[in-house]
Amino acid sequence: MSVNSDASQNTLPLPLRGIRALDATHIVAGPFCSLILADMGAEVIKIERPRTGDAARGRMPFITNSDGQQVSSRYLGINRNKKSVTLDLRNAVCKTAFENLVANSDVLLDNWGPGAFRRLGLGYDRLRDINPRLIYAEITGYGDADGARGPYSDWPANNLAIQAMAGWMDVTGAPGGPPQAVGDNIGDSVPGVWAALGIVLALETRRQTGVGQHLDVAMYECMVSHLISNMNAYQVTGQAAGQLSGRTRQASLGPGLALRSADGYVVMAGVRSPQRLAALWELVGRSDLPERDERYLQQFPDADFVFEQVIPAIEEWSSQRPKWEVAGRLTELGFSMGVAQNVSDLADCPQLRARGMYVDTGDTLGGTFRSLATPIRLNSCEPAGAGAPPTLGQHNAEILGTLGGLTAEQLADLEAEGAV
Amino acid sequence: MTAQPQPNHELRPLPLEGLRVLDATHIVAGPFCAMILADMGAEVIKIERPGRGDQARLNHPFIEGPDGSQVSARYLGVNRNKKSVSLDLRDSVAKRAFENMLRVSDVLLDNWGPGAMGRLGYPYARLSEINPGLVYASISGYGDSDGRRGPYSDWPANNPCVQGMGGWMVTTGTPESGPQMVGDNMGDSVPAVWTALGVMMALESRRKTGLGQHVDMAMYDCMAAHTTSSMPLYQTNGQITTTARENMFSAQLTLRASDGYVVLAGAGNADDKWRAMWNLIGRPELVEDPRYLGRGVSGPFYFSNIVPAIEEWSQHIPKRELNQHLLDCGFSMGIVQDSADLDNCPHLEARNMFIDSGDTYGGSFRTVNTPIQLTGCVDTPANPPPTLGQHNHDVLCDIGGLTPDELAQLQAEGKA
Repeated sequence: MSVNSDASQNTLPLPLRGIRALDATHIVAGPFCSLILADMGAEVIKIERPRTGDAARGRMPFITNSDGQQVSSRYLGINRNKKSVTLDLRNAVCKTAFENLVANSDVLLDNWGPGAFRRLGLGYDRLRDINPRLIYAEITGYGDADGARGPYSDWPANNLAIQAMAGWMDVTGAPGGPPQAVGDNIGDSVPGVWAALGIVLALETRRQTGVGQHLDVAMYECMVSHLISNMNAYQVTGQAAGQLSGRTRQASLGPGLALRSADGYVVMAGVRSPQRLAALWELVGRSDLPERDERYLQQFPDADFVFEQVIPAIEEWSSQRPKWEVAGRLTELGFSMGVAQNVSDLADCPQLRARGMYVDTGDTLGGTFRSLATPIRLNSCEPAGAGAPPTLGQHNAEILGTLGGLTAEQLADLEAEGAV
Repeated sequence: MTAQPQPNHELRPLPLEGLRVLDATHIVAGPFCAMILADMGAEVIKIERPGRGDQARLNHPFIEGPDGSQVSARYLGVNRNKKSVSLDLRDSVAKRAFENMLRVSDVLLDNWGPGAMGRLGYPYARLSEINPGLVYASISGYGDSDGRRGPYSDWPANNPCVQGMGGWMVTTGTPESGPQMVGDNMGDSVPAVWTALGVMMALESRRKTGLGQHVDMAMYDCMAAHTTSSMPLYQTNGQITTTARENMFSAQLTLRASDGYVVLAGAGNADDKWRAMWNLIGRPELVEDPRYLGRGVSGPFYFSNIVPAIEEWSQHIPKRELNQHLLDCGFSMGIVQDSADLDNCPHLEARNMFIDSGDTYGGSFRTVNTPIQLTGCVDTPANPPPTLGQHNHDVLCDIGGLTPDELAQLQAEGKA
């Protein structure tokens, strides 16, 4: 899927070739993490509940083929390059098969909630007995290590709760309005990246010491660690700036501001000099403004002046022009510009195409499905795969019959009982 | 930062112990990435411009030292556990020291912009000649490989630009407010985590092949990769997720408390939870209407009927108490926390998520720890962020191969 800049260079195998990860996760945080591992070459085996499987399989919107079969596009988006087996871990035979899989794997990834595996008799102590080299990566809202419990350890968590708790919402939104969340699963996918990083680090430690460990990933902590400006400023000022911080940051011309165009918004940053601002006023036909008031050439005038004078004056010009023209003209003047792109822009972006960021994995119903590649460009490695997301239990026979140690009869029995 | 030692297991050293990283980066994206590597045990050496150093050293707010000198809190926050050397890479002696350091290092990180290292005479081809095992990770706005150039490759980029371009802003805010950005450096810090992961992947590859490579990280690519809901939705039916609240996929509500806000999620197929809530707030009559149990209704009904009915009650109750009530009803809840809430958070404290790495003047400075809890490894260190050029002598004369005289000369000329 990635574009090969120089085919002869891209000869190294993907870095995680030979690593086997059992992916007992659902929805977004876990599957996004295991997608990264799969894209980087690991063999990822989804362990799913019989019949329903990963809850994401049941989430709208669905793609329907001509036979009326349906598949969730949210599922398709983050499950390429994986295998699927179904197991009911309350069933003794299934549990044995699972333990056999654990004995033959490098990583077990779990986001079923704090203590879920312990309640199945598969706490880390037991997992370690089965396979001392196993890396058990557990993604929970607030953490699940015995020694590091806090008051929220048993709270349920999801994307929105985590964006709120971790301080992202408080710094987002218009002043006076309610706090806002980013309208995508950022509270899941960002911790998913951290978990993948933790797993690779634990593999590194295993290489040095021969033993695995429990990696305890708390979504809350992952998200908090991104509050770089606000938290560090708070250490000095003692002020929780909230949305005012957002406003100030967008108002002070240094960090950047949002401008209305005829068909959307652009963001403008990179005001480094009065000369650049003078060029801006000339472009928009308002060279009279800086002659009248020197604040029009300042990088950090007060926020009210920016909102009441500067932005409206620029928008008189920008709101008459399409967003790409506004961004292009201001880029020519040296500003750092961006367009507030929506998914239709992103789904057909020439830059993302040039970067090999689109993967067509198929939709498992015979159609095509485009998803975004893992954004790690290893320029000397072979491209990541574009394997279709697995149908539920697609690899039961292949995996449970070998690594899981089940006989064909056992497997048939389990199928009859609905335990796989 | 990790959990308490497990009784039967000796804690192991941090995973990146023995790894040397040259960190030629500034501001946030590169330094945050390098700090993750440093927290995980790597020896990270900042390469800074003489005189000013990392741009972040000049960013407000500042902490004053006893002698009136200043240090930037933003700098302190993302530079713990590192060393600093100052080098003017246009100078030939400085270049020699840099090349000597490259020979004995594992990773070079760079976020000086597309082509900047090339203009100094260090394109990847040259770097790999100097050290074929070197992992060279560049972080730029839109990527920096010849074979992967697109229309934005030369655009300057920073946090707001990539939040906008990456599809985050357009889904954030209300229709009235226009698109909003998250009011922190997410456009830098999220790509930084991806870059740390990319570096680890390239090291893994090197272990098997002996060869380093160029890891070409584009902030835009990284941000776009997080559109895990909105992109599949669009791929299915062309629907564009915007700031409209009605576009939320399931009931996710922000509710006003007397002193802030809480968020409520997990309200789909949740009759029991809704019943418990309406009874709790004294509106039992509403459970007779299935719409108040979240059945068969969409965004507008939530926002014009359900939210006002809850807020009549919730706006008189403090956020923590409100949150607990609704947790007890079975909803997934969260409090909209600000920096003060977070700084005083007992849970983060219990999880060892704060680290005091000092303000370089002997005072304390509290930063948020790297959130990778390797429960089998020792704690991350808490060394203070370096002052500019603090390690010039140790590093440049030791692995840089300069004589003390040469270093003194460079320093006199302002080139180190």
